Amino acid sequence: MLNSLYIKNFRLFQELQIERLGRINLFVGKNNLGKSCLLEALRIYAENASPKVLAELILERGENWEFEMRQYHNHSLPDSDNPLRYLFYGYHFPQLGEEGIEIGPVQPIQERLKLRLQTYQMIETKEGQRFTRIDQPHQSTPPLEETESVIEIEENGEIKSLIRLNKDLKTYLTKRHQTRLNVQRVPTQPLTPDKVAVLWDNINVQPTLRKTVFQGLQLIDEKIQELVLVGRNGNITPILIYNDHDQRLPLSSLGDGMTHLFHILLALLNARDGLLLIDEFENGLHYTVQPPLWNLIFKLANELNVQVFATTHSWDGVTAFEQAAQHSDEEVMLFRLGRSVRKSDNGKVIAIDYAYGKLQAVTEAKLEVRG
Amino acid sequence: MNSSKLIVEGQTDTLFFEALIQKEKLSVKIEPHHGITKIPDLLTAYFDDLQDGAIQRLGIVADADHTTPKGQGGFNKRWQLLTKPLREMGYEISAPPSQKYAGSIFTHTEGLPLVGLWLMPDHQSDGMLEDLIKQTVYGDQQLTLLQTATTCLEQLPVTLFQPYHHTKATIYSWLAWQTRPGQALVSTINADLINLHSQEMQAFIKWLRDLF
Repeated sequence: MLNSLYIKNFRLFQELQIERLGRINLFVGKNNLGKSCLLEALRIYAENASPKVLAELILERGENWEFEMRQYHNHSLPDSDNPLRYLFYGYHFPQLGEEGIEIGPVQPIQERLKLRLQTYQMIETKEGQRFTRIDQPHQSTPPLEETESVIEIEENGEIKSLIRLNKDLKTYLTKRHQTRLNVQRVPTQPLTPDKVAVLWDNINVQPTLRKTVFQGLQLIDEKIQELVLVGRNGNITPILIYNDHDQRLPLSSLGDGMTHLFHILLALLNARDGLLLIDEFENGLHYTVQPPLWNLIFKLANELNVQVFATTHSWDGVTAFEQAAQHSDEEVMLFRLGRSVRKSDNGKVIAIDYAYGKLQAVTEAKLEVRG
Repeated sequence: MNSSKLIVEGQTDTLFFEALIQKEKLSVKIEPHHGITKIPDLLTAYFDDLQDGAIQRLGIVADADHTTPKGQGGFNKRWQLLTKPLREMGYEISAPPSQKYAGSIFTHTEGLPLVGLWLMPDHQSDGMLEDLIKQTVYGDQQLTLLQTATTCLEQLPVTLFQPYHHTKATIYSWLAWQTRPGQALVSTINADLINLHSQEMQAFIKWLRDLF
């Protein structure tokens, strides 16, 4: 579990510091303040900032567009137009060797991942060719054309991996890496059928977990008896079986909320000892079903040792969360993202922690938590 | 949604200030709070919302009260109680104003939103909202009734209330004898019983306008 969070120079975050995280963490805030970026940062940390996850982030957001355009014209991309720049604050690379992205706990600093832009080149050594960093590029004897810009991923002084800017990001998608933490996601778009199948397979072989999924679905319709997956080869359909007269319906015919609930359960039950990231928690869910769903999530997160991070932009979503949190023994935290008005902060995004005692004082005065 | 808030003490005060805010066409949300001792905690809770502009302006109106035998209450004590958390948050707290009827508006060293404070009745003396109301009652009929209430209190066979509640007893007695007897404090605004154009009320209204 992450006890705290520090994000620097990543996308919208100039410097975001959260001193204390709980087991369950809900983030609320206006659009474009970085709620989704925060989940991305956690994903990066869990995956040790592998080239694969960084490539996935860029491709998912369509930030590879300049590369796609140039491919047809056979022009190579200058560094300043490289899609990886979108990961950095201000959407441009920092100067060579300058402070880049930092993601990790507030303390200890050594456990933070650092991403920096560096210059590398192939150097002839006795053992053969070696890709080495050049620390003083202006003084190097080989001409600059033979050097390459690289994003270096480092932790505690150790270089963990490199991404070469001149490579097609798609080539990194299959590169294997070592994860730090199991991480499961429920993004705003529904999970793909293949992903659903994989997650379901893990659950289906454990009767207790399977039953838990059915209990979760019963929060929306208590007549649901069980769920099965039919089909194969990318054409996989979840079917709900009801306890009256063997009624059967595809999950999709019940609307987005039901599918979203199913995906939350799938991801949560596959996230043992790891992180669960839910973007836009309230997607398609009526406010009445949210508190019992949260209660189920609190219980399962505790049983499976999962740390949950969710975002919402709905006031109902926050109220539902507070309702469930009041009766829970879990460490449940609510944060609001906003832009600091402090002169010295230059409008940077900050996270405001609504510790429970404060929440009481604030709910008594009916403060607009959403801001 | 960026909001301006005015923290007031208790339910009766809420109605009064809501009516005044409405009359002056200010866009402010009244936040009633139960007990002046809870206000410092509320300020600390609001501090975060001041940090990202979720609260655009914050005002506090409370009774200065009187010094009790235990040493609570009174202008100085209330001033200390309410300015201490503000000072800790980085607001520049100068000395209390040198003249009456001049509310405080504090600025922050780092540009956080303005916070205002007015201790009733006149932001200098001990007392309460009812003192300000007593000061601004107008019209011959009303002034006669008010005098009658004062006289009445002097002749009570038994006085159950404390001396420092004298004005409160006077005002509520006077309110009992209106066209619509027994209305709450808010009726002083709605039924035009106090002079909003008096120097005293204008000073208070000016503080509200300067702040919000």
